[in-house]
Amino acid sequence: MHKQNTLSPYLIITLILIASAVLSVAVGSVFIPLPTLWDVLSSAIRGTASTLDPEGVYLKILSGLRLPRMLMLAMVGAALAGSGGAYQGLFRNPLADPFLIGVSSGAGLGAVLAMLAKSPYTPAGLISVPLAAFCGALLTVLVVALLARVGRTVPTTNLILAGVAVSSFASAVTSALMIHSTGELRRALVWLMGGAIMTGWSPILAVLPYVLIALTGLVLIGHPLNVLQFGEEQALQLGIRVQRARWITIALATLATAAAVAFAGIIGFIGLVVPHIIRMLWGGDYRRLIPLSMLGGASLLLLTDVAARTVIAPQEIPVGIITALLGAPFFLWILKLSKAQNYW
Amino acid sequence: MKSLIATILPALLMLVACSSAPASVTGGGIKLQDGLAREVTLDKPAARIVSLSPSITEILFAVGAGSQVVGRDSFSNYPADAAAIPDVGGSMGSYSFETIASLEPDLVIAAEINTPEQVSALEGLGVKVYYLSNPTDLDGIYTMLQTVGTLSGHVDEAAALSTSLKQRVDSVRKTIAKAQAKPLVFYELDGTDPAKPWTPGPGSFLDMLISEAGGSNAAAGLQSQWAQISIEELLVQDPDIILLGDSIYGMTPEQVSARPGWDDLTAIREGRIYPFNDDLISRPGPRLVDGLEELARLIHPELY
Amino acid sequence: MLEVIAISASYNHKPIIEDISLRLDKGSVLALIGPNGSGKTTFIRAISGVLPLRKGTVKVDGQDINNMSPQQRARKIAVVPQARSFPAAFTAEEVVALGRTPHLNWLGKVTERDMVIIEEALEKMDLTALRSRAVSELSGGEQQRLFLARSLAQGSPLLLMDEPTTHLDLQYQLSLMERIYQLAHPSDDELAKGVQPRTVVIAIHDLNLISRYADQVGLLVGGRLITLGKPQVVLTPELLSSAYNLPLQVIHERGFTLVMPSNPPEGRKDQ
Repeated sequence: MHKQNTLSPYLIITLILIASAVLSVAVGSVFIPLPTLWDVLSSAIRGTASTLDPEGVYLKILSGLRLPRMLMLAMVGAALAGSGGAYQGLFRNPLADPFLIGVSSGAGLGAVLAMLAKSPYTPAGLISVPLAAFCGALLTVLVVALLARVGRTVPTTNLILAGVAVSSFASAVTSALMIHSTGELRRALVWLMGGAIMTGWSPILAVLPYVLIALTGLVLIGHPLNVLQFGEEQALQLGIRVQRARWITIALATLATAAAVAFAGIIGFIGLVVPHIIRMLWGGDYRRLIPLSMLGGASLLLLTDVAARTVIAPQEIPVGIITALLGAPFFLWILKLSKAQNYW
Repeated sequence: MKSLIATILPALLMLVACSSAPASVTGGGIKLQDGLAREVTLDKPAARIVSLSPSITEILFAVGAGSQVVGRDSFSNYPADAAAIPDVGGSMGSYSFETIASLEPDLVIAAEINTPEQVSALEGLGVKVYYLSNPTDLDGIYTMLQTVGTLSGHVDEAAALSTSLKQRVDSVRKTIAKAQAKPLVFYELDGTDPAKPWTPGPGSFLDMLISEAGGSNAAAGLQSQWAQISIEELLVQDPDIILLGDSIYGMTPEQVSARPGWDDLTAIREGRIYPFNDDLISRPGPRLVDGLEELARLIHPELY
Repeated sequence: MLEVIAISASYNHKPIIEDISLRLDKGSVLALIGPNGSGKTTFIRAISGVLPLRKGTVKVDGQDINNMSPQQRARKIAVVPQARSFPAAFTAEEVVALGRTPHLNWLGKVTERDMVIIEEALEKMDLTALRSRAVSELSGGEQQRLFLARSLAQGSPLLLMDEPTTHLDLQYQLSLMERIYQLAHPSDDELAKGVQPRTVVIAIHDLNLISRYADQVGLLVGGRLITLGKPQVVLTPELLSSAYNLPLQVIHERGFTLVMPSNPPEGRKDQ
């Protein structure tokens, strides 16, 4: 909360986001140079054929794959980083991430159960996995909250403990199911590593409302989170309805994360690392930290996805693996830098 | 402001429309139902085919459609000609749909290792997909060959291949009918944990092939198609023959003999432990018959 | 302006304070003393509204605090915590600004008037020069002043303080007590400018700081209010020795009332 940079942080992050988005759309196993990109898209808008793309292959790749993927990843990255920042504020813990109270293990269990059910190849069948993942995530957090409840409050320690316990249990059940059904093993593994990002435009329409509502809410909860940094008792004494603020934060963060995970699988580290980077650069005022984290999370996920798709092309490494590989050393670097300045 | 919305809105709609263009439906030609209960139609046999699994690549080459394969998955290593064909990914569970789309195939053939989401994603790109299910018995191989032959325009070759395969299978069956005993066979899929190696259990394809080859699967009493058997159980069963399917990953008979407790097994003491090319029996395709013949030779050397 | 009517409160199902009643006028300082465990902290928490009462009522300016929303309560009552756990990265200015929370909307938007109040609070506590420093970079005394400044910015007429002088060096203890007294007793100039006298309840350990800075003293023993009155009345050897279970004597020296053990330390010569 101490640096006042002259350049607006929003401007900087937005520029980074735009650059990441353009990169994400231009790069792949087929590199589409910017002029071609511009020509293809503007021709499509005008309804004419692009001279640089006579057979329409570029257009097919762009509109069928890259653009929807770019939008999906931007939403997922924003949801994960925004929720991560909110949880770090709520739990007053630098290690908090959006999966702290069970979203990922609940989603994983739901997804694997749906995969084992071997639904028919119908629209209903195809939606079964993300739907089950979404419901699994919400149900798990509900169970955690009920277990952690003391009267009308959910004390932080209880939440974390219950979250850890329920997550372990759900993960164990998921692993057992996976080992038992070798046919679906690969499908489940890829999903759990964030390598099964759903393609096409319909998943985007499905995720959009949840993410929009949740992220808007999280942006608005910045001030109460600031006050909460002094502890719940002081926050109450300063006039904040503490329990209401906590429940709202948990509900919004869960909604955003569950929607993201349902359609992209489990992608770690974004929710943990991005808020820390933002905090180091522009301070810990949550009114600013959360929206900036969302923009930063979108950018980072887009960039790691570019790496995932190009490093050993045509192989596509599951994005979750890249974020984990990069995330761990990055976090250590942040730790080293943070010792020099007081930023938490 | 209004003109901005007027530009962006149709642009978005346009992009959405481009991506959901339905595959063209034409009458006549080829119409088949695939393994996902989808109806797949082609005007004429596919000239540009992408294969998403090594077994499908093998089948395509076997029916003479090798030159029509314009893209194949990373694991397609047989026949040797497949290496020259562009790689479309798949080693980490995801394929490069971009590469597949840019190859402009008439047809993509998927296998059971592919997920419904992948099929749906390809369809969303306007690519035609046929999902080829695994056979559940030996006869299923001929159906697979026939299907691929129809899709690729090599019906006659497929039929001829099926006939010759059937003859070989019959030949094996006739030979095995003369067998006096039914040796107990242990087939190791993965011996990373020597106390509990992985083996094909009852109901698996290999289990069935071992029976056809005149043997009996030591793992027949286990619970699932892909199961672990403990070394204790193996010692009780005391198989006559040990086949190392993990030899393609570097497992040797010497390494196995060196495992603690394993030298009590009859098969090891008598040296009846052999490496086995797992590709021959793990890929549903014509080479299953090669695998069957190899199994028969190893299980009943006295008949060959 | 503060009316405490027969309150009892428990913590973890153990009754801590029983049947305490007192009244406090506007513009006075009440020092709450008593041995450890006598319930001083519990009392502070109870009248601030964060600890539910088992029995009794607390009224501020005639209103029952239970009938107030947290925001209304915060506008009436400000609690100055012991500066022990706090988010390290906040600047002094940001901490004081957060004192305005009960007057801000959900987004925490600060108006011109809020800025003026924040400035005044910083000035009054001599923190203007330190406004951009992080809390962790301040000394113990500065941190305590900071939290007092926050409560000032909160603008609440009732200030509750729990052991604010613990861990402070002597000069900081004295200057803090002086400021607290001034808050309850503004100078004529300040009164002319419209500054309102505050009412302060301060739980305090150090008996020797009380006589000059407290208008009234309340002695809590075993959760009950044994005596309430002017310092001279409460700070007597009889009451104190029985409360602290220790023979104590009271000395009046140069305007200060000092409390110390009545027997010299055993086995020491030269006393």
